[in-house]
Amino acid sequence: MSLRTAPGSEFDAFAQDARRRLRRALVGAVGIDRVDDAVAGALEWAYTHRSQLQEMDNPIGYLFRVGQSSVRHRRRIRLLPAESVELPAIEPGLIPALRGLPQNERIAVWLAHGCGWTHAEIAEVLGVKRTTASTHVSRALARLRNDLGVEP
Amino acid sequence: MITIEEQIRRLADMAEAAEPEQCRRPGGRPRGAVLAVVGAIGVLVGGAVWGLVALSTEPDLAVTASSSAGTSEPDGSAAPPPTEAWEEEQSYRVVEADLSVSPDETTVDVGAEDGVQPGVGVYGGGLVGVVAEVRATSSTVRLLGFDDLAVRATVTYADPLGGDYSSGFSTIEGTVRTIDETVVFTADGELADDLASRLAGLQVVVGGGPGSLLQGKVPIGTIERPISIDDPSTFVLQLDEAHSDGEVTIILPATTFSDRAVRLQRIEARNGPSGTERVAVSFDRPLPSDEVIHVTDLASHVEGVVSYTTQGPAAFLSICGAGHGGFGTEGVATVDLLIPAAWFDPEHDVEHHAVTPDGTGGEEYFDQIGKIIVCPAIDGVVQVSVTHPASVSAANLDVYIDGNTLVLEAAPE
Repeated sequence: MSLRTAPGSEFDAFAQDARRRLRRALVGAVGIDRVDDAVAGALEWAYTHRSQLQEMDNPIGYLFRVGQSSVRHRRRIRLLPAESVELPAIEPGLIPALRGLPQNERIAVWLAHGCGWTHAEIAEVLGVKRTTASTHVSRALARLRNDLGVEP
Repeated sequence: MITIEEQIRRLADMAEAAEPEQCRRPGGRPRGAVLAVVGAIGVLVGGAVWGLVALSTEPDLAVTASSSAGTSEPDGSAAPPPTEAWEEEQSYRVVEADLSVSPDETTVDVGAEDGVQPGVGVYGGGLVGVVAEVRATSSTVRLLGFDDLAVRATVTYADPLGGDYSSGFSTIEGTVRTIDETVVFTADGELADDLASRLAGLQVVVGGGPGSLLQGKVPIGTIERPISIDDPSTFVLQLDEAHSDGEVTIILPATTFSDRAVRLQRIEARNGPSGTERVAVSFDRPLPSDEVIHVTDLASHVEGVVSYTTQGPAAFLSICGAGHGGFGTEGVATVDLLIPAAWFDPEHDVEHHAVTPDGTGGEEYFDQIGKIIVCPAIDGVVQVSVTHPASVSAANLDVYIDGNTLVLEAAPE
């Protein structure tokens, strides 16, 4: 998608799609309370650097990092609004267990299974090798299963 | 039994669906985009001809003329009415102006009648300069690259292992100023050698700090190289190029001047039994920024923050814009607090305030305090000079803002 021309139309179309994808992905990294700020920060950067973004193979991955960066001074995270935590089909201990994971493992497992990102895409945003990203995902799942007492 | 993987996917579904309506941006326009469309800026000087020119790298995105409160969309159409969530973010307004540069003075053809106030940024894409003095229908501008102007700035670099949250980025704060006609970025504190070598080509951004009159965050150029091997924290800055059309944009806070203006209320001082001097300058409301910067001399004061420096000991000192003598052969020293003049109510007389004992100290030590002089606004700052009988080391100074009060504490040498 071209970002260089017609900012009122093509950029908006890009931003609309990016916003949805980034929001879903960034929740796992920054939490529900900060995700809107993170997405806004990422899209602000995207708008300012449209031509740069156009050259990128994985603009969403880069914007993910920008979004993380834009709220990095805020540390506590909450994965879902409080009123929606108690939902059927979700282990009550899953959210605390996710929050308890090391940062990169939580982001990796969230992006892999929550957002459907490939391990290569995850590796790019984490700044690690693909094999390391795979390890993060595997270890995160192992920790979650252990915390929740679930057999593999 | 639902797998953990599937539960995570459902959580992500719920998180995506949980977006509160009030968080949606009008028209999907990202926050700050209107300021960002201003684009890149540069200053061009050609031989003996002085010319300052502005360039929008993407002309179709240039902010069009507007002097009304609110925002302009990149295509020139009116923006949707701001929601409550956007009020603070859009608290600025835009005025267009023609800029004239001569060897003696740089001016824009807008002034107080247009709402211009000292300290606001003048842009032609990126930062051109800062309004220095305001007349009814015109204003003088101090230019980055020409005048003795310093503004706070940041450089963000890829840092996969550093930064909070492993964000992948870290930010260096510093100051952009002109040294011998070279625009430089000086980082706060020393940088590691390996970091200094990695900053070339990175963008320098000004504005947007708490209370800053430089609205938004505007890229102004890129890091070129360290200025010398002896100073790994100062870099030559390559300003973005520009083409001449003489038009600039001034972005004003939407709040009125009187809404922001502070008044000096009192000055209290003491010199305690341990020898630590404390001077508290109190205002009627919090200062726009609680950032305090040490600078090497009076002329190096930084836009939009409180700066402080020291002078002497010398027989003559620069106080209130003139050399002051008569301090005897030993001379005296000063600690100078430099408060942006743009922060003050223009109707407020800052000069005539009695210095009273600090209520937390005790009158028995009051007599030991040196003379305190408050100057009128000169060169964009209000100077508060605290005299000392001997030299004062910056290492022994602690200057900070506590609520409505600017505090200077000087430990004994």
